[in-house]
Amino acid sequence: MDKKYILVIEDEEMTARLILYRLKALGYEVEHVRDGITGLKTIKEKKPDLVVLDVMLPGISGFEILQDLEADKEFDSTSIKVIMLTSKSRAEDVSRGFELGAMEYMPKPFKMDEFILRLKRVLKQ
Amino acid sequence: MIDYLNSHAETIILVVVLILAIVSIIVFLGAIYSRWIMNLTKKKRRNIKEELSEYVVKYACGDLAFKELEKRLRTSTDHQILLSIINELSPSISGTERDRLQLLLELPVIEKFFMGQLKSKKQLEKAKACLYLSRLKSIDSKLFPHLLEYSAEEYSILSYASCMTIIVHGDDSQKRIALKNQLLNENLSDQALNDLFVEFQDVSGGDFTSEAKTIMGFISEKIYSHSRTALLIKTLGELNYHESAEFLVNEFLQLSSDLDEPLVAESLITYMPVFASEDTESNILERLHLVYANSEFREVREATMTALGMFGKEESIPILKWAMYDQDFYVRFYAAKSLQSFPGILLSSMKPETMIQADWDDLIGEVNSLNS
Amino acid sequence: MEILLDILYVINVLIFGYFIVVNGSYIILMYFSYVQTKKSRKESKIFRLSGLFDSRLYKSVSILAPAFNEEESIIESTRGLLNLEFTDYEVIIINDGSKDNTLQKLIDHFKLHEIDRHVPKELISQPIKAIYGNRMYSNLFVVDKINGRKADALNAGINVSRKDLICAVDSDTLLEPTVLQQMLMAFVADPTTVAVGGVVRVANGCTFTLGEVEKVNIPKTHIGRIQAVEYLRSFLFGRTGWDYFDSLLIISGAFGVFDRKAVINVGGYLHDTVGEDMELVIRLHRYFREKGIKYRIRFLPEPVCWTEVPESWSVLGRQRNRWQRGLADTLWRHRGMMMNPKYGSLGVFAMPFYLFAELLSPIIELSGYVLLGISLYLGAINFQFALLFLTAAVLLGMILSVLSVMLEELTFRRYDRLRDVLILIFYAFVENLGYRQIHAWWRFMGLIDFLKGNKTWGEMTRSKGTFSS
Repeated sequence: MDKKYILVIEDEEMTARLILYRLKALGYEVEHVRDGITGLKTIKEKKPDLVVLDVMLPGISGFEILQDLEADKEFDSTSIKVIMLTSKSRAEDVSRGFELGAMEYMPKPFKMDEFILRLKRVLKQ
Repeated sequence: MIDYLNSHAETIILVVVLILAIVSIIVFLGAIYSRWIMNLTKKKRRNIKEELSEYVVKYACGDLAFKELEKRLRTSTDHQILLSIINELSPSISGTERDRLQLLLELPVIEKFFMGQLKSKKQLEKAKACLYLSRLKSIDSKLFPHLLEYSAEEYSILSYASCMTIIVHGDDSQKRIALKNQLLNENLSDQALNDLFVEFQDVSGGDFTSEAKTIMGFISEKIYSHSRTALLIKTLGELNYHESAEFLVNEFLQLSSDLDEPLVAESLITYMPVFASEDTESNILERLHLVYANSEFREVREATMTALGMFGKEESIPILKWAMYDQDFYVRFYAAKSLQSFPGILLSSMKPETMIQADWDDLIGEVNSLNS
Repeated sequence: MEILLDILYVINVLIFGYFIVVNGSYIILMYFSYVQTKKSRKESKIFRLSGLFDSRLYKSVSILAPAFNEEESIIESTRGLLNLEFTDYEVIIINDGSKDNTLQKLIDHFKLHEIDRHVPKELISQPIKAIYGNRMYSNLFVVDKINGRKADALNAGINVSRKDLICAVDSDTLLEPTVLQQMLMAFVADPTTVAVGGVVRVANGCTFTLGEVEKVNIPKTHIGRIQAVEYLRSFLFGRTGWDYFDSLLIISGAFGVFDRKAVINVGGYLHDTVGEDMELVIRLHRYFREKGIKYRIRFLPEPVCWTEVPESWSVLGRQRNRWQRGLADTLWRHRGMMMNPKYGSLGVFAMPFYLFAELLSPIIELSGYVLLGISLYLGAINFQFALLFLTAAVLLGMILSVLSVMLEELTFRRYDRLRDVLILIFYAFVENLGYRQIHAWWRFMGLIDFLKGNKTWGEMTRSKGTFSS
């Protein structure tokens, strides 16, 4: 089995470090970007197997990234899997995330183990 | 005076110019020196942060022992940076990793500093020390008398911070006293109380029964201002305390019909559709139809019209139609929105003759855009 | 002749005294500003707003951004406003009868279409032609209205808005992403808060990426650098100082948050003044004081709004002329509050201070220079006194400007490079030789225009594209 490639788009530095450390320890290939614009560009260029996406980001928001991907014919929800990881956890935000094609919605604060569990599940789908 | 100025003008100028020269030299040198120092420390701090972040991440994931991390912390700068790393990370995570971070807060150097601050003469420093305590796993029970005393302070920042700590660490009765102090403190805003109630629910760990009881207890006491009572009701509704359903329905049904308190009525009505049971529904609807649909307060009528739509009972249709003649636009608007949700109602044919066309167009357009 | 000389002499001494008192009070103000800055920095970290992103328990915000002929920057600035770290807020762009493509650009970029939205006529404004929206950007609304003044556009925006708080911004300013959360803190910290002003900093020279400031540099032109010092002195530390005394009189039109109901209660922005931002704040003070309701009007030194300042002398001159007319108009309208103890420290200190130290200062300063020349020529005063006079006038001003740069170094340190700070200190000195006198002249002309009844806005031309990446 080839190494899964995961992109983490997250502007909180320490949170990103923690996630990266865990994912690398699990043997994934991981990349981290800090803002929405670079994030979207990286998704389009490198087509990661999975994206961990924050909503409030510098540049453009996580929702806008999803909108952009939805409009892009090259992508559909099976080719790029998205897990939202955000402190925006009101019901309408969650449903907006799913509507736009996210496969999981993790509200912050989150439990690392649960996050890994869901991430593995999404990767298997 | 004038003579003095005249005869000493030269001296005065000299003094002023000298002062100015000294000030500017100090500023110049000061700026250069402080920048130099700052750049040095900035670089140093960045390196320390980089290194410590690695340590903290490993430690949080259980791959590094507490002792190992502790050994790395040598200076007070190390501790400061560690504290800022913890502050940055802990709001986003929970569970085991968070627990491990919490342990770091109890490092002797950090603990000693804040314990000193807790006895500080400055209220703001005390408040910060309280917030520090609120983030620990547990605190010494001897601290509670102090915290309770602080929670009764008028200075909202200190009362808020100490109440926060009590909510995290205290027992039910301590929490009740602290929250009560906040409800009575006029300097504390409703929004700050929200913070406290959100935390109050978060620390309960899944079962909200005693929290619901505490809040219901406050409402029953009937000693707080109307806006606080409305806030308590909203808290129960917005934070989904289903345990309070029966209680809120009773409160609503017992509300005196003279409506002297629109805020309380409005907040109760808003959550009635969520909390009503099959047994109570008809009573609630009757009250809404007969009493609150005629309320003299706009907000109450608006809430009523929205609630009727959420109940969705055919018997409300005449009331809603009648509300389309209300003098207030939003009452008409919410009535129309509710009517729209009934099958077989053709809203566009229901323009009240009293309503001007432009308003009607706005109303229909907006109701439709909400449903599209 | 003898008597004339004596009179001249006395006047000179009085003016000398004036400079001492005014600059002295500014320096005192600066000290309190330092105290206040330290305090509000600490206070800003207290409240958690833990439920902000997952409940409806906190106050919501409508951002109102009037736009007139802003086709160059409107998309960029709107995107910036849509990407703030806040949850329950709407962005209302008010196209105030632009003659260029501002509206069309917005419609095209955000794929907007006309929507129906009820607009209660709570405040008077020019008619609204249409409101545009798009479900994909559910919190963006564009209001197209017949041209009025900025006050008129804001009133229309207030009518359209439906949130608890309104945040008035210039559409050519850039807000830092956490700005609304921090402004909300002031409302959380004190339930009686009705208005909060935020600091406006000079954007010229800085680099911006992704709607955030990346590098803070000083402007490249002399005039920009002088304004950078000026903004520090009067907008940052001056207003923070007044906040200490709870007597803030001005919230910049470029960035302020108000309680919507309070603004409606006092009747909204005033149409026929050029100083609508200051006038509203004073009217709020007046309303609450007269009704005896407890209230707070705050200024926060930390949430930052970046604005582009004019870099041409003529545009700057027109702007300052307008500010002076606005100040004169506002103080005149509310003259009943002047020295009136009923209005507390506001009536007794802040208003008279603005009258003497701001409004009348160009007259006193300019006539001081003229009289000095005459007196020296006629021999009413000796050379030493003349020097003393200039010392008081110019050197004290220098101390003040340098102090404000120093205070910035002690507190915020937004400027990254030592070189920039040293240059600012240099300009703090230079500002008092030449620029200050020209500034006094502009303001003097502003006063004359005010007396003539000139209420035009004066043309504002902007250089484009500071905020684009």
